[in-house]
Amino acid sequence: MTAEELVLAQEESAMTAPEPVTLGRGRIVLRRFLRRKLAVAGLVILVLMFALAFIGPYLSSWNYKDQDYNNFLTGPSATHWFGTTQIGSDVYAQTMRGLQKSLIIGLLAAVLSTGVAGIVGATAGYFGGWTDRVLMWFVDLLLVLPSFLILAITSPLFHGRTWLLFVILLAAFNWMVTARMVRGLARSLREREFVTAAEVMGVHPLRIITRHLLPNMASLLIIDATLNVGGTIIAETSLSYFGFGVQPPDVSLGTIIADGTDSALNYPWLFYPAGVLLILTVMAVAFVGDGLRDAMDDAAGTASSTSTPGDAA
Amino acid sequence: MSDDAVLEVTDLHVSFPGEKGRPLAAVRGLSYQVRRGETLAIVGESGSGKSVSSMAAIGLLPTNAKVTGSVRFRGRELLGLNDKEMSRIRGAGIAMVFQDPLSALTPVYRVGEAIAAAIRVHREVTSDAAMRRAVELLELVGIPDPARRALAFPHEFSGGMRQRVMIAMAIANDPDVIIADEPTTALDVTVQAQILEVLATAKQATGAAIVLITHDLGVVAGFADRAAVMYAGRPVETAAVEELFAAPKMPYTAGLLSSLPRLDAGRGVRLRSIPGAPPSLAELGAGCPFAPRCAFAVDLCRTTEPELLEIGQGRAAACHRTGEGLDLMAGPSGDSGLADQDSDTAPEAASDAEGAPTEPEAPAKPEAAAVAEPIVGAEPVLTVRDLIKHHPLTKGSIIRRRIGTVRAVDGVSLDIAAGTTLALVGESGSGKTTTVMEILRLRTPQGGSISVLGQDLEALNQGRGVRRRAQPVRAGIAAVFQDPLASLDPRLPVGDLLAEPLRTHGHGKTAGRVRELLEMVGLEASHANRFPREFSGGQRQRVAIARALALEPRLVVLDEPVSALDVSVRAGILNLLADLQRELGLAYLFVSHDLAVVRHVADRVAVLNLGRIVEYGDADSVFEDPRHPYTRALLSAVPVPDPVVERQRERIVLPGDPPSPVVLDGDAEALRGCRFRSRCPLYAALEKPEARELCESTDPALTPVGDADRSAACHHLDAWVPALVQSGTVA
Amino acid sequence: MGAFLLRRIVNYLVLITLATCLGYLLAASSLSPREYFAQRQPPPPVASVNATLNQLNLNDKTPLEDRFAHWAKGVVTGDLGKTIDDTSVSAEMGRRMGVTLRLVLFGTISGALVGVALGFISAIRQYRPSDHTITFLSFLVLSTPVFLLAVLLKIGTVKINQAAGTTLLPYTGETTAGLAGGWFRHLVDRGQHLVVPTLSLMLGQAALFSRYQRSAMLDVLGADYIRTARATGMRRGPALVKHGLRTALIPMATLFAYQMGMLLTGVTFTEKIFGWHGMGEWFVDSIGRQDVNAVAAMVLFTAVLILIAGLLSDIAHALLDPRVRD
Ligand code: SF4
Ligand code: SF4
Repeated sequence: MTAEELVLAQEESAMTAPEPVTLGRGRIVLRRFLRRKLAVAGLVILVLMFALAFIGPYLSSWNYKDQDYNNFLTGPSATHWFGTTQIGSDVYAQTMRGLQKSLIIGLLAAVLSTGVAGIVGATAGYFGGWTDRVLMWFVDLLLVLPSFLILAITSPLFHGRTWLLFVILLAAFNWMVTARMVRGLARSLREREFVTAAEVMGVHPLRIITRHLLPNMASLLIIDATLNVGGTIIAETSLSYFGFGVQPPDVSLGTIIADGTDSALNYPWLFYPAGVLLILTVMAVAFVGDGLRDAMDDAAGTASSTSTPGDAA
Repeated sequence: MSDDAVLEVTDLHVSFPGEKGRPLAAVRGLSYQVRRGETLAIVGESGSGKSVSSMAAIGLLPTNAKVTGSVRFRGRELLGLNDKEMSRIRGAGIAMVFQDPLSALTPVYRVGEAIAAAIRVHREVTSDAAMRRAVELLELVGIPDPARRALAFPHEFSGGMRQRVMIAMAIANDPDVIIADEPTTALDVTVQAQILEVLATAKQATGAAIVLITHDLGVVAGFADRAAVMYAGRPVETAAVEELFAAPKMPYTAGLLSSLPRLDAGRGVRLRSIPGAPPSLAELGAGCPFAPRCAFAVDLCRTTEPELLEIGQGRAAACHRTGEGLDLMAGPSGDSGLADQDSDTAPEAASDAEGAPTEPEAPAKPEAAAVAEPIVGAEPVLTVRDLIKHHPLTKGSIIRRRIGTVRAVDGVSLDIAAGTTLALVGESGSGKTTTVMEILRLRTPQGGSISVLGQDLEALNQGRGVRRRAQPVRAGIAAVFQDPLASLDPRLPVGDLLAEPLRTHGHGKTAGRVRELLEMVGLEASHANRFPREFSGGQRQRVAIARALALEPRLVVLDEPVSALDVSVRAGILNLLADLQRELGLAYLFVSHDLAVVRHVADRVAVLNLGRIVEYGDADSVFEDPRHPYTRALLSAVPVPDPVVERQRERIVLPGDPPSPVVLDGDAEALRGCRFRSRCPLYAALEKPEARELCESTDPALTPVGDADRSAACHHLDAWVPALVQSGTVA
Repeated sequence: MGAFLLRRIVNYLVLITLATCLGYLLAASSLSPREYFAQRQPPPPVASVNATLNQLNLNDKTPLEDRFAHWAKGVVTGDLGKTIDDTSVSAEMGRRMGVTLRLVLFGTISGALVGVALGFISAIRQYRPSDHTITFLSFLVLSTPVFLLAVLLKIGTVKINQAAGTTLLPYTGETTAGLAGGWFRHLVDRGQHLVVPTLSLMLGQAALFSRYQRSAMLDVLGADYIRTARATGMRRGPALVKHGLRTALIPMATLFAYQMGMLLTGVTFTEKIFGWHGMGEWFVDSIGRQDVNAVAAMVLFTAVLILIAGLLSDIAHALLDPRVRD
């Protein structure tokens, strides 16, 4: 069968060419990743965004809470780089603060939700039977309620509390699809002979999950966490857009865009900086995630990504 | 050259762009021609370029492949034709039969539709006419009830039936050449025999030439007229089949032939093995690609690659030493190392090897000592009595429902004495893997009893602390699975893999033992830091064996341990297993579908059919004098890699597929009488109605035959006469 | 077969019931209708607020279980309760459902079709400029939250209209208020109004489907059966469509169910931003108004729609793939 032989031939060129043999898996992934221009561009943008979000605020003398009573709705200038709002707030300072908030919330919620998804999915997939049925039924139930709906409904609960609560809720309603994917993968890994081999050797089930299943899903989980960052940023800004998320006086990219929407035509500086940063960030994350997927799939030769989404409901 | 050649390939080269712009040569100068009605076999292991060359001939390689040379079909040059012109030749002039017929048929079309579509690509006929023709073709290739089956989807067919569909599709447009790429590789032996017959029928019906691509020398011996042996992208020997098998002129061919386990050889004969593994195309240097593994290599071999030179009528070989009249089958005189060079251990050591390529891993031992004497009267390490494992069969992936029962294991009894090998033989669906897993999982059996190392599993699973109490039993039984790439966690280095059983069973220091284990299986201690994918297939299986030995088990279950390996490295693994058994006093439960391998290793054999043992006993006696009709059929289906023997021997081709162990709900009839009945040639030949009635009404029990160590389950053990068997059809 | 389908539907009904109950309980415990009245100018007396709340089954002084029981009893008889302005939830829902369904229907169908086509092209021209363009654009769209996309579309439409000097594409509401003329004029008007909002949903769908279709198609491109089809003499184009695309459509059936939740979220923004009076707009406004019963109605609506999508996707899967048919 040609495909096999071709792959074999091509793989061999990659795997057994004299030099790469000594390379560890991490280096192979890195090398393949670096070969993808878009992914590298995404990584660079992402790094810049983080730099901007955390160093940016110190570059300007304005704080996001300050108001300049001499400048209302003025366009970009030397004092106010991105102009000012109706009440004289500095748009640059606000945007930087918003970016910071959106990035942190996105990152934390994504890591949290992938973690939950990994644990629930691996447990359900490995043990199967009733554990699986109960967990997956619960996932189905949560999938019937779009997370946006639940978060919007419960938003009054975290008004006035710490934004960390918001992060936790964001994660709490975001892990289901990944959990289904992880479960599917865990089920197929469970059928793999190396798991059978460990079982007949008497290795403890929890050890099988931590030592054999999760490491073999590592690439899926890493990719998923990466892509989730984009997803949670979108979720956070969407909720904030309607006032269901980050609450004033704090700002996020979503609230800034919401505030600027109505005047977008006449006072574009209120709207575009936040909008462009948001799109750039999410897109950068997507490129990095995609690049990672390609790099890891090639290097592992195992099916770590699924081409189809988890089957919902 | 000759006018009657329908397909003539001359100096074909295929290369792919490799890493860092260095092209990867997959085929390096292949030439052959086939005439109408002739069968040419292209033989080689994985990576030898045999499949790539045929895909190149019909122009179906990916566009990044660079193809040069010449491919002439009925005198017309094919290389350089555009897709439109090529499409007219594909299917109509040159047709293909691919290996894995499940993935090779589009899952969403009915097989009749698929064949009809193939017809309509080349002919202006109505879809009705095409469909009628499709049904005729299905009938020709032996699909029962073709009109109805034409409406079924590929997934509703068994592997053998799908392969028949593929052949029907290939002959739909009366091709002049049929290229069959490993057409029987994934199939059971009895089905393989059927498919080869169908191919022969197809050849007769169309008068086409057949190019048979295979790694199986047994198939070549029985089916082909001429053969070209490929190694590392080059043909290294071409000859008429009889001559090739009688007197190979190239060390690789000779090595392959003498490393094959054969049904007609005795038990325990030490196989000659070829050290090392087939080279990867990326690391080919100058010189003969076989030189690192060749026992006859001289200095010239390492610097200059030999040309394929004509050495006789229709014979050619690529070896510098062909003319010297060496006795290749016997090994080079004075080099006693060859017989024992099993180790395929040194991945990169080849280049600096000066004398013998590798050190013998163990001191050469006299052949006779290789036969392990069964320890008579030794305590049994495994006793299985009336083991039963049934599970419900459900249908539908969206909506599941139970429709029947899979009687995977249905009353199996086995014994293995310490230090001996019991082989469990059967086709797919016979329940051999289920039996093994029931033993390995150490759970209370659904029915019957299992006792491992004297510990009854039902008793073991009672009470509390089962996990802890089971550990000593687990330490005494170990397993090696078919595919080492699958059974070794790809994320762990070999050192950790070997240490895992040790840690699980509470051994603190592991480094020393890991080193010891690696050396025991002929690997180096430094290999502990590598990952499984950095090894060749044979080396990986050695790692798996080392892991199995970690806790000094007394029983090792070997589940198809050489089936996934390249032919040339199998012998090395089999020899290693034999050595280990002798040195460590291991007992083996050896599961295999390959009777030739079983013949080679087993002390006792159990033949499994539909979850039952149909014949059981001393290996020599079973192989030399099989009594149950199924055993006889199985044995006769195994091709012998010797064209003379192969074309003369008695052959029983069992009809139908290996039956499935499924009993549908409410189908009481399926459980009545002898379950082998539907395929039993003896039953079909029985004349007396009473005799037939007995088969239909009563399930035969395993009863002793002849001497006490044999038993078989058939009512008519003595009725067998060769005349009852239709003589084999041979291509 | 029937019995099993029934079991599936029963399971769906249970899921819908639980989801709606959960939605109600969450809404009832996190929203505070009392505040909505208390904030009125001038503040109404507490007694009258209590009376209104009691009448609407919204009084937070009544134990949650009792309110829930009351609400549940109503729902079973087909009465979804009262909105906070004392109108019927069911009636309001009846008015708004059609608006949302129209958007969802047009958005999904056009998005899926365009996405499948783009994904197919992208896959068979892998790494060529057309693939890169499609990939980049779909990433761009996927990285733009619907609210941003809708706003950008709105700005774009304004610019186009300004350039054209007339309202070529209306972007607020479903119809032009007080439009004269015959039914045809009205139909065209509705159609015109539909364009931009549908686009805001369709783009996201198309981008999503194109990504998945591309990777499904790439998986299939190397498949043995395409090689078999080619080996029988079929040309590349027909083989890719008849054997490749046909098979690569199968996973899209699953995607259809999966994206429904996302789509319903998106619809909320579209309606809100383009001023369509559908379920989504109602939902957002209801949360602002602390309107528990209306919020619960939206949850019910969403759950039903998602499970219908699930059922449809199962059916589509079975139609497309004979392997799961029986
Ligand atoms: S050329 Fe030399 S190395 Fe090659 S097969 Fe002949 S003897 Fe062996
Ligand atoms: S009992 Fe009858 S059917 Fe069964 S194997 Fe013997 S002859 Fe054949």
